[in-house]
Amino acid sequence: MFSLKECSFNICQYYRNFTITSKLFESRCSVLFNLNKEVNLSVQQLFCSKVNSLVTDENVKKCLNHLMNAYQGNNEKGASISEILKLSEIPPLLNDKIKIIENIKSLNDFACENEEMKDLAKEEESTYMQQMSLVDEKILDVILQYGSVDNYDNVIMEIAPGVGGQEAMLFAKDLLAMYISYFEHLGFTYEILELLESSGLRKATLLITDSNAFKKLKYESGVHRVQRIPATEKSGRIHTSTAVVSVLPEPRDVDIKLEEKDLIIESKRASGAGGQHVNTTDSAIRITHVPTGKIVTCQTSRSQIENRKLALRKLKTILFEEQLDKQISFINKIRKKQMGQRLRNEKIRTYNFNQDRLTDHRIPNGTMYNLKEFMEKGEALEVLEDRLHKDMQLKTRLEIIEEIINQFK
Amino acid sequence: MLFRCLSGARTFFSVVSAEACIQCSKSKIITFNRPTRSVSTTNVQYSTVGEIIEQWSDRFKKEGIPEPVESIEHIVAHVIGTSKILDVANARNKQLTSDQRDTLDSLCECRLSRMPVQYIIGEWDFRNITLKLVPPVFIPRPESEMLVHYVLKALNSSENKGQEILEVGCGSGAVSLAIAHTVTDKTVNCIAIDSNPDACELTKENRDRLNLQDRVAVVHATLKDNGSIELSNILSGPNDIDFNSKTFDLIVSNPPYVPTKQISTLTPEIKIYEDLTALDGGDDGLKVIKPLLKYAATALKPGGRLLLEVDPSHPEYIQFFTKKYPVLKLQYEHTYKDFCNNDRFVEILKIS
Repeated sequence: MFSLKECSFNICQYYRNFTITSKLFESRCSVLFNLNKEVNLSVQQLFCSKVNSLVTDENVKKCLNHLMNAYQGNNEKGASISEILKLSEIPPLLNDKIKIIENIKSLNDFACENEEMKDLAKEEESTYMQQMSLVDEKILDVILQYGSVDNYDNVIMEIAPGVGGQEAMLFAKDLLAMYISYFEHLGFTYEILELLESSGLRKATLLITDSNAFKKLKYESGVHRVQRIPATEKSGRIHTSTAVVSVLPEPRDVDIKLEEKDLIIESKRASGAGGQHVNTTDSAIRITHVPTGKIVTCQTSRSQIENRKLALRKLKTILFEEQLDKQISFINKIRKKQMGQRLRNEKIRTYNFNQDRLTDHRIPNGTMYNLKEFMEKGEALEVLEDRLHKDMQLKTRLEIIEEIINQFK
Repeated sequence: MLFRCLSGARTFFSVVSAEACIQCSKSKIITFNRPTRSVSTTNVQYSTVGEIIEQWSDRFKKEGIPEPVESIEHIVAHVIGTSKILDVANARNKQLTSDQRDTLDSLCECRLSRMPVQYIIGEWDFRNITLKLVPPVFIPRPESEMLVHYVLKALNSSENKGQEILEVGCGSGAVSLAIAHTVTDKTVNCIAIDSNPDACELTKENRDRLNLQDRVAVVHATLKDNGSIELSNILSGPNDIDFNSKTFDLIVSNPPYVPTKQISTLTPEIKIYEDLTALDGGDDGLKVIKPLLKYAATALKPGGRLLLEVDPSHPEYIQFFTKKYPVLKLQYEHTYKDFCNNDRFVEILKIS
């Protein structure tokens, strides 16, 4: 419960920053606003392009109406609705909306009385409608941004073979090389925390340090499928194998706390007298988290204590992930959706070596050619990632809206 | 007799290793003084890094070299210019240049004569700093990383902004430099002393590499049996250091604590290559610890602390010692365990 509070606190803080920037934006635009409302609107739309197409969606309208009614106390408040209404930015926006609706109403009354004024009233009404859609967009933005936490400092990425035996291990190794060239292309600093190899890759864990890393990697989470004639195959048959990639943002210190008594920390140096009696080079560390049984290892550094620090960071990330899974709070659901985590067990992409193509199954026209270049240079992957980001963000947001609607039923 | 053999072997190997080291560091060697026991390596055919690792680790295994795989991985990492053996795994398919191969071969010869990997590659990591290491100066052990951890903890709990720290027996400088490197919110002044001038020189060099000149002084000085410190030479630092009048907030030491009779059981890496005066603690392992307690009793400020790394058999004695001599005003505080669950670190408080 405690950490949940901490989480939401973080989000609130993040959110406050967001509102400040949007207010700033508004004040800068006020000149424009006075000059010509049309121009201002288009500028706004340019900046809020993320939600543009959402406001016109039928579900979204329904959702906003529900929210409005709940605010005015006309219908029952679900748990999620009260959660949204608690956000400090929402009530003022809803008040604005109420004012606009009242204005339109009085405008209509006025127009009924005087036939000549009707045209004028219509014109006036359309400006009010524009203002209202602006407010709607802001409300939506507040709700959707609430769970969005793309600005993690570090990301931990794990690559492991899936089905397909040795060929899967070879493919996992190819994926590792692909991501390393991707990091180099993007200029991310990365560190390999763990690397288990035996005729292929059994498991690799990487720590990527960059504030953009999560944004650029979150859509890589999932099952990657390969179709090719394996190097080990003598009869020339095409095999299908998979590798699994997971991308986890590293929690901040406040997000998760570890108790010393819950940890078993082991090193290979454990046997014998130790101290000055022994001189070994093995600095690998293994940490077991007793309550969950989770085990992490680290052999990155030549310093044992540094390995220990890195292993603890990794453990925290894994536990944070689990904690998110357990929490059924609505906000966390949004947060998880924003993190793209529902994709973990989903087959996201196929690499077909014989046809020299790759297909991402999550987006329309997701097929790209020149597989060799895709895997060796980071550029093509970045292009795909940007497309995914655009497409998936819209999809995710519509899903969140649906979720909200479901809460009303 | 055994001891004489040992010291004979020691001098021999020290010469060889020193030579090897100098040559290796130049990394452009064509010929190499091979110890007689090593077999010629010219028949070993290899091309990629992966194959080199396989062949040399097999060879090491056959010759009974401890940590065969790690040894060759660290050597390869050094040759290809990285400090991480995980980078080696990525470079498995790469080829070495002929210069690199020559260097690698001679470094592996060193390992065949049981030279510690840290001396072969000439450096090692200690917490978040990298230290240059040269035989025979003591190679810092991972346990001492925890010693620093407890020192940092003691410094954090102290309210004094300025802290005067003395390290007795600094070796490569690991402990003092790690402390000065990590503590930034307080003014920490370390004086690192060692009885071995080579160790002092190395500490000074490592300190200069880390740019800690203004915070760590290096002094060649010896702790005497009567608990006084005899100053030989101030390598760098204020000229007026007087160890018989100066007082400290904290004294830290990883003194020699291996009982003499156990020295012969140590691996060749240690007993042939490392400076035994940094390890040999006399009959009971307390030869340096006792004078150190006496010195701390006079040189610690009231409320100051002494932090020691010791043999697991020592904390009991130290506790007994402080109780037996209340006049020293030393109060045994705590024994901390190392990561292998041995009683390894002792904290003593000077009371007023």
